[in-house]
Amino acid sequence: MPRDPNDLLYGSLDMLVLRALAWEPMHGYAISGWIRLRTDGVIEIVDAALYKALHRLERQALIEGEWGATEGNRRAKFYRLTAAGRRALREERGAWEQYIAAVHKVLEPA
Amino acid sequence: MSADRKYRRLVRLRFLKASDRELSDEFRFHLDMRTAELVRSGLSPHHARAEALRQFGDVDDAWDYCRSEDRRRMREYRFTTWLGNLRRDLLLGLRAMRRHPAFAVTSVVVLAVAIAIATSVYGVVHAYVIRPLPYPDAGRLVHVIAGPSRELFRNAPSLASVNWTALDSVFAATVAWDLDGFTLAGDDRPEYVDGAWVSPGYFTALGMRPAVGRGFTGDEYTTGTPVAIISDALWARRFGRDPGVVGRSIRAHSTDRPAENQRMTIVGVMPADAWHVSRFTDVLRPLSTPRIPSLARLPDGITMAEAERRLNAIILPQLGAVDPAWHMTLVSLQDEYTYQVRPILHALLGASAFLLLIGGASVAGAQVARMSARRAEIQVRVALGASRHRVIMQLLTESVVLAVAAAISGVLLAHLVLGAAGPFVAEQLRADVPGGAQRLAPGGAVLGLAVLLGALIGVGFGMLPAFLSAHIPSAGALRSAAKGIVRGAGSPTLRRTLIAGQVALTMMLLVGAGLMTRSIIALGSAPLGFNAESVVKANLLLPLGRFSDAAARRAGVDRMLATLAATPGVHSAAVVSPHPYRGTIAPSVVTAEGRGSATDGPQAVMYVVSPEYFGVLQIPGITGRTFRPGDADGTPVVIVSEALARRLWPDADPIGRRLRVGADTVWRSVIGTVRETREVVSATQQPDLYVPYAQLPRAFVSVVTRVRSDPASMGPVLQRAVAQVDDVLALADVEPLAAVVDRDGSRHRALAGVLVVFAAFALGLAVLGLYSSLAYVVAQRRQEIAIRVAIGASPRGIARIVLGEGIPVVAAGLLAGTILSFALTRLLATQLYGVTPTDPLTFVAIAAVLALTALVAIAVPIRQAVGVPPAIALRAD
Repeated sequence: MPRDPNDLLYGSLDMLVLRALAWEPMHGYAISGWIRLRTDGVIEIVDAALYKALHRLERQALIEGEWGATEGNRRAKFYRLTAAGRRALREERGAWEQYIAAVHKVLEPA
Repeated sequence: MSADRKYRRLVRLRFLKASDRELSDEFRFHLDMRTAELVRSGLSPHHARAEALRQFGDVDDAWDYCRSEDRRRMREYRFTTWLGNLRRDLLLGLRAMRRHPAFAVTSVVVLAVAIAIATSVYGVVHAYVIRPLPYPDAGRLVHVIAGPSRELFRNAPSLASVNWTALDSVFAATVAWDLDGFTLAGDDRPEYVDGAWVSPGYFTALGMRPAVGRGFTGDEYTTGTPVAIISDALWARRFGRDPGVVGRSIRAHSTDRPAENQRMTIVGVMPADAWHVSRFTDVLRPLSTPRIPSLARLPDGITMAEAERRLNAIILPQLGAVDPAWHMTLVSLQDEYTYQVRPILHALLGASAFLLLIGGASVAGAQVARMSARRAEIQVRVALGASRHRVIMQLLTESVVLAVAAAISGVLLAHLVLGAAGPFVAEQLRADVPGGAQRLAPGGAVLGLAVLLGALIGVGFGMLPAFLSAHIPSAGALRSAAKGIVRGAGSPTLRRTLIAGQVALTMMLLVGAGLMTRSIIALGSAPLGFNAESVVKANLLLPLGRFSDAAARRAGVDRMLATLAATPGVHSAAVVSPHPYRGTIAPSVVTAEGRGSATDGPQAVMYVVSPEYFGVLQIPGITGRTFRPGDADGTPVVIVSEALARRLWPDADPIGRRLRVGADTVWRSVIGTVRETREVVSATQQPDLYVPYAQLPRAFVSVVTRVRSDPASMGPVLQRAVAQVDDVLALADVEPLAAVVDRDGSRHRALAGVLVVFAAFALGLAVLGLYSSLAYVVAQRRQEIAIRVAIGASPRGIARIVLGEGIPVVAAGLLAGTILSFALTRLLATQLYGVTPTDPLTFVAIAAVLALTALVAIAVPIRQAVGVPPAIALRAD
């Protein structure tokens, strides 16, 4: 049975959001587009999950939301990384890379 | 749910709370963008919106989740902000204290001392009145009074024929006891100890159990069973804690029941912490006959009033014709134990509460003055954007820091004081701390509560000025503040009220202290009617085993007095029963022959004395003759005091007349009169009546000996002399008679001493408060005063300004203090002697002292105001 790549993302969604915001402050819609673009459409985040992650991260003070205007001059909530968020991203990323490396070692032919 | 409805719901949510609206805006923005994107890729608007919603996923779930996350974030945010503010306020408060250490230290010390005093007094009150007595379920224990009140009932029926066993239907248990004294003999150390005959309830209802050996068995509660239980103290003192004491036989001669066997077997030893509600008891013996109970335990669900009703329903029918006013009464055991000390405790509690108020008021007064001085600082803060709320919070925090520091140190101080003061307090109050002196120190809960209350009081007084003086000044006020010409002076009314209140409370404490001091002076100068100097008093039992009848006792006493009189260092010796100043002596009703009935005559205290008594105590004013050895076989005689003679025969010579004492059937001829002697302070002063020992040779007497040297050191000499006469004669409670007299005034002196200390502390605070307040006013108006001086105002004119500020405040305080004192001093009435609660002299003198002291407090700022050269004052600020 083919697996949905999104399944793999469950634990790493927060990290992806943080990574997106490390690029530049964005609103939710832009974050979703940014991730789709960067992963060549492989990873597509369910919007509901994305917003849940955003509000969770905001509560954890890893990101900060602020209302601003879009290019089309519409009011939208822009999120940006806080210092704590930047630190969290660094740690998550280290842990993630270790994990990936470990999984690689397991999967490599003997 | 269709896509449209979902969308409409999102829109509707717009009109909800602000935070919800933001969330709704955020979601809507996303859906709008996605819809537009889908429309661009060719979908119809309708389908595009449905597709956008489908792609979004579970909107409701996301909505709930995000909303709860947002709310949590807001809560946490508010808490962190609050914490941050608190931390900053605390730091500011500490910094403010460092800047004005005198203010901080004075405030903390004043509050801490006041809190320590209040806590200590409360601790004592708690130990006596509030904490249950150390018996299981002590709240259900009642004391049985054979009468409508504790007062002597003149027409009381005889209870001799009452069947007390019927009370088992009223109470869950009854406790009867009969106090007694025992002379322990049989070796070379005869010793007289307190003891009691106790009913089974003494052990069952009070939860008492011997620590060594056993209690009495049921069949031992019959006349003549030779068993005894002894106290831990006696075990240690006489038997060196020998575990083999159980089963040992001792000789112990009872005072009140001389017929009971002298030899008894020790069956048990009470534990060291056994606490007896009556008085310390060294020897317990089983009480045989059913007797009127002293204590009883209420059955579950029965109130004291109901039990009292049932008790009287059983007793009254057994008595036949009884004065309708007579009935038996129940009071709680705690009430019975503490009724004598309660007035003192309440007076002290009230006084310490005043002190706490005065301390709080003086700190508040200082705060108000300081607050005004800090007006500029506050105005700058407000100008820089601090909210009224923030300013008040900051001022409050400063008060909290002060109050908490004061409360903790005050309560710790109280804890130390109470831990050390147990025996002293018990001695001064002349009632053991229930459960023992070590139980005076209150537990952690009480101390915690004291800290909390102390802090609350401190905060309360700190808050007063914070709220009242933080009426936020406008930015315009900033400019005038900078120039130092603001005259608001915080809140003058509040400041004046605080000072006047302090003066009023101080006046009340001073009046209380003054009345008590006058009582002590009256006590010291009231003639005793006898000379207690150089007299040794001792109690003595003539055990029936050796002195079986009146003749033997007469002979024994004669022999002993002769031996004592011949002892080197002894001037003269006499016996008396009871000894003077024993207290709690029920007076007897005296009937003159041919006048009135046995109930409406005057009351008098009857003393049985040997002929030498009047000489030993140097009681003056003897007319007629005194007793003589020949009285033993002659007609019954009596000597009365002058007051009794006047009451009985107002206009006739009493000598040769006859009277009868109490229910006695013998008519006694008056052979002489003497002056009055005084009884203990708490007793109603009654006239005296003397009967010769030869005609009423009691087995239990007191020996009074006039000695030539220090009475305190004569004890052993007298002991040896008496033991020479007979080896069962042991002097007990040997002490100078002056010490007995002295002890009687101790409660009054203690109360007076404490009140004087309280009043002095209060007076100091009031003076300090008055001075600092006026000094502050002077400082505030320094420029005005300087200008006046510069344009030629006289120093008198300047003094008038300060006096005008000070005198109305002091006068108001004195007036209020006088009125309140009038209302409250009657609570002290039972503790006063020789002075009325509204004694005008005390009131006037105290008011004068307070007014004079206040004038001094006012004079100093006046000198300061007048003394400053105008040029300097004008340049200041």
